[in-house]
Amino acid sequence: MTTARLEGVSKSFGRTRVLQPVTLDLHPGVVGLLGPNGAGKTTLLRLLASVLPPSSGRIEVAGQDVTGTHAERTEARRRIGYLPQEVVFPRGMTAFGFLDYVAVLKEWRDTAARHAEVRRVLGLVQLGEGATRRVARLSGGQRRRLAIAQALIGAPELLLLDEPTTGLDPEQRASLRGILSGLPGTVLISTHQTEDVSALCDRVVVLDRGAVRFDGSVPDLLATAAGRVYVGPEANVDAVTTWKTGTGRIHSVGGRPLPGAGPVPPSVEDAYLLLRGSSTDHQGARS
Amino acid sequence: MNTVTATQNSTLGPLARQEIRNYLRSRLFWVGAALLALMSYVGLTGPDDRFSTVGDGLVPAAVIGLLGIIVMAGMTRNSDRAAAAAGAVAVPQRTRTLALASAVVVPATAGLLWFATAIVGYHLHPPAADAIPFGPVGDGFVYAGMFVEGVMACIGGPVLGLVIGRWLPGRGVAPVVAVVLVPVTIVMQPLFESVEQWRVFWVWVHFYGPVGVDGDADRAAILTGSPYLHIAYLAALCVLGVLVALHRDPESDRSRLRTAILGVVAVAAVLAVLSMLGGEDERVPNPIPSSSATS
Repeated sequence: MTTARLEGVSKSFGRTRVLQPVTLDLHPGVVGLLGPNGAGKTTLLRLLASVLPPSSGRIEVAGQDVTGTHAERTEARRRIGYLPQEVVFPRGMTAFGFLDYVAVLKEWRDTAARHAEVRRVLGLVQLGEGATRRVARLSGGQRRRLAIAQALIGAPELLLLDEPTTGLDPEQRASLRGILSGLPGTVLISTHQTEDVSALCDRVVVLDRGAVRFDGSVPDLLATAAGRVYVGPEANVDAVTTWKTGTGRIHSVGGRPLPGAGPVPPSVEDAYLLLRGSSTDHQGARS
Repeated sequence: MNTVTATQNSTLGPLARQEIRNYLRSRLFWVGAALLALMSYVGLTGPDDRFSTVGDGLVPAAVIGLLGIIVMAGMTRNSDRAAAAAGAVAVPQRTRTLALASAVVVPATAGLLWFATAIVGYHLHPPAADAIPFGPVGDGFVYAGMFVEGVMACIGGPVLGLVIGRWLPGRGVAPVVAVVLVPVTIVMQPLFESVEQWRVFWVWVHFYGPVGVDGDADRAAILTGSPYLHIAYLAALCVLGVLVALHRDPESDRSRLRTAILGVVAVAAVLAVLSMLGGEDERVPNPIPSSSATS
């Protein structure tokens, strides 16, 4: 079952094209969206959330054409939960009051049902005790969890999360993974945290310079890096990147190993770096 | 997909209730309301029997109306922030704008309460013979004047705040407008008799008062124009303000809204002219000199 579909969707701001024509199908499950800053991840999420109109192409969410009529767009929005990268909260509201207001904006008309839903999502993000506190008095991590909570209102079919774990401590990140992995719908997470992707996602999409560089499962992404990551006394020749580990040995991603180096199982980060390195090399060779 | 089902009926009602609660939570509103209550108490218990509550219309206009500009602009900004925090929500901006406009019921109620208190005060301390009303006008004229100055300002201020919140959402704009309104309003009062009729186009004008005649600086006079029609003119401006605020929603069909705006502009213009031509043609001083002139 397809939750969302992008067909040849591109986006330009003036003369700057931030998203090349992209075609993607999203199915139930957790999808990780990786890419460097400026790759077009946030733009892709905002297009799916119908915050931005595409420059070309067609976007469908839960069978509704987001780029179609106002009625279709509204119907699609009823199925979407969206966490923007940066959230500016209303002044003077409590955590509960903020979520209550957003729930009304999401058409939760019945007061008792709405309050129950607000309490549910507050509990999910472990903010039940901070419900009556003003948002301005919450810590950065609590505010981030509050922002996540608003996206979870109504258990949306398509949940779009832009950098959800920014500002969360390890326990809170683990807790969020638990929440997201238990959701029945489609979750698209834009992140720089490759460990979140490896721990949570069953599919990875890598965006670079507005184009999809990889679209597949986590094992498939790892397979692209198999035998290309080494640990040894010295850095590989022409490695994409290297660093000294805590044991004093050198971790090399890509390149040719020198004597004494041995291959190690790649992580998602290694695979991503290799993918990025090869695309940069390719770009460099072309230019 | 096991989506929790939200009730998808009109959300204007619950959203309007939220905005009314938000207005009632505003500290600025309660500061104004407390000042208004204090001034009303002073008006009720004070010994003044000359102009009675006539001059007090300025109090609700200032502490509820002017402050309402800031309160409503802030509420509009908060509504936009909440909507932006959730990304794209199903409820359109025009519904949020209408809900915000509904919250005007709070300052309007404060204005009406003041009005009721002012009428009680008016009868507890009837105006002296050298005050207003006299001759061609009666109590209704004074009531209409108080309604124009007090109640309509309590409604018009927050509506202006809504327009500012929609079109000029910067944080400092509403306070600056509230401050600038004061000197402009002073200038728009009948300082010059020859252009007195034109003042009714402004939103906050007197129709009577101690304007001074023939060396009697406190001599009461009835000014030109009709306060009854001016109420209708200001009501049209309030409707116009809401429509202009609604017009900001880029996703709504604005063609019919534009027609409605043009229609209300025409109605407001006609009412302004009628307000100018209605009532007295020229200033009518009270034949009885003021007590300060005779003492």
